Formats: sequence, C-alpha cells, structure tokens
Amino acid sequence: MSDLTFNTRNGFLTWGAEHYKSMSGPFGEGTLPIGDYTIAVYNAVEGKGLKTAYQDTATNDRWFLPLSPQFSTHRDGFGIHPDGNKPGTLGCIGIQASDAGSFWRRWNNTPMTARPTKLTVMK
Amino acid sequence: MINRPAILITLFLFGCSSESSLETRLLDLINTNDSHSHHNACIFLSELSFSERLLSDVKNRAPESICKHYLIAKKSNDKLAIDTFIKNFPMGQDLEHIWSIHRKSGYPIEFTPPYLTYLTKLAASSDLALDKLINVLNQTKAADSENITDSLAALYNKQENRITNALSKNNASINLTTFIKETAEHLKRTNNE
Repeated sequence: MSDLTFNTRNGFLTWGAEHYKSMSGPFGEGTLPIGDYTIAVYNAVEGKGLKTAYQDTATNDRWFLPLSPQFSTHRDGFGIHPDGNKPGTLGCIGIQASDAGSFWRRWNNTPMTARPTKLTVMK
Repeated sequence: MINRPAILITLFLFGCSSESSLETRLLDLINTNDSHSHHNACIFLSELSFSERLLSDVKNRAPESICKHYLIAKKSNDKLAIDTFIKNFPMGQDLEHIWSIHRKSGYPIEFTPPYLTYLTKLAASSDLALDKLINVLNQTKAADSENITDSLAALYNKQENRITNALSKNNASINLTTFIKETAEHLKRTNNE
C-alpha cells in the first residue's frame, strides 16, 4: 500500500504515481503543520451532514477523510476533502475540483485494507 | 462512513426487547465517568423519540452537563430550557474537548457535534445563540469547523445586517469576518445553500 504525501510548496497530494492538485489554508491558522499524520480509514465521513465546504463541485460528492497528527500540536480537526465553496481551507487538505473526483473514485475502488493509512506533510 | 439509518436500526435491535431498556441503558451510559460513552450515549439518546417520562428521567437522572441541557432543550422546545442550553454552552478548552471526543468517536450520527449543530440552528432566531456561536468560532482551532462557518455564511445571506452587527458586537476577528463574508458571497454566486 502507498502512503500519501502532501507538498506544502507546490500543493500536490501524491498517492503512488498520481498527483492531485490541492491546497491547505490560508484561513484560520493556515497550512497544516509539517509532519506525519494517521489517516482514519475506517472513520471516513460521507454524505449530506457535510456542508458545501466539503463538496466536490464537479460531482456534488461530499466526503471527509479524518487525519490525526502523530506529533504534538495545539491544532486539530484536520482532514482531506474536496475544496468546496470558496477556494482554501482552515488547514485541511482541500483537493481541487478537477482532481477530487478521481481521488475519491480511486479511494472507493481500493480495498479497505489497501488504502493508505499514513500521510506525510512536507515542504 | 456515517450511516444514520444503520446506527438507529442497530440501536433498535440492541434494545428490541423493550425500548425502555434501551433508553435506560443509554441513560446509564450518560451517567458514566467515561467521556466517550457519555458523549455517544447522549447523541444516540437524542435520536430517539421522547416521552414525558423519558424527559423527566433525563431531568432527574442525567448529570449536569451540556448533554443534559441539550436533551432537555431539544426535546421540550421550552424557551427557558433553550436559554439554559445556550448560556451553558461550553467554550475554550471545554469545547475543544467535545470536538476531540466527537472526532475520536468517528463523528457519530453527524459530522459536527450535535450540540454545535443545535446552537447553529438556534442562531437563526436567537441573538443569544448567535452571540455564543460567533464566540465559539472566534476561539476554535478546529480545522473541521467549516461546517459551522458554512451555515453562518448562509445565514449571513439571509440576515446580513443582523449577522454583521453581531460579528462587530462580539469582536469577531478580521479573519473570521472576512471568511464568513467571502464564503457568503461564494454561496450567493453559486446559488448554494
């Protein structure tokens, strides 16, 4: 299984050979901190309880993959989700509309035990 | 994934010998010292239909907590109970603790802690709730609080003067004010909720 990486400089979320255009911040306290995160594969959220901030504007899918920092930080509530409504997030990794659909399709087509469980955020 | 019908069916099957045994079990869990059990039991109990007896049991048995205030306010729709809920709504570290439990529990029933969803709903008509909500957003470090700012932005589009005045009155940060207004503008442009 490939882990995910997020490059804060170029904004790409990478899964194996695939790169998904994304952004983190600049709202709230901005880009999520550098370091390793656990992806809560079994706690993914999907559906209408989520507002437009988490909506893929191309497919109308709404979803959120929770992230847990594996280091000490005062911030919390991070996740990976489509970058819905206005561009930018409060720190989550928001995948741009052009790429969110293909990421989500790949996620759902990947067996649960093969989904990435770790994200590394780097400069 | 959150699957509300499946959770409710599971709860029903768990207590299908009698609904009262399910309610009793949930009330017992609300009374534990385990904050996760307390939180989850509260959320599941709030999804059940309430009788007068159950409401009375909550008033008499549940520990003083946002859970108790939430259940009584939501199920009685009594103004005094609603005001009590709003006034006792947790802030700062206490609220962050609730967020943390909700996340670690896997966002049961809905993405946002239901106490916060309820407060947001009340903010549409209650100035007290609106003031509290803005203060919550001013303080929170939760990256997943966009569900709430989204709702407030939608409310801004319906009650611009009221929300603008409340943001100013509560010393909302420039960042928060800008975020809400720009989100509202985006929602208006795209005709979203």
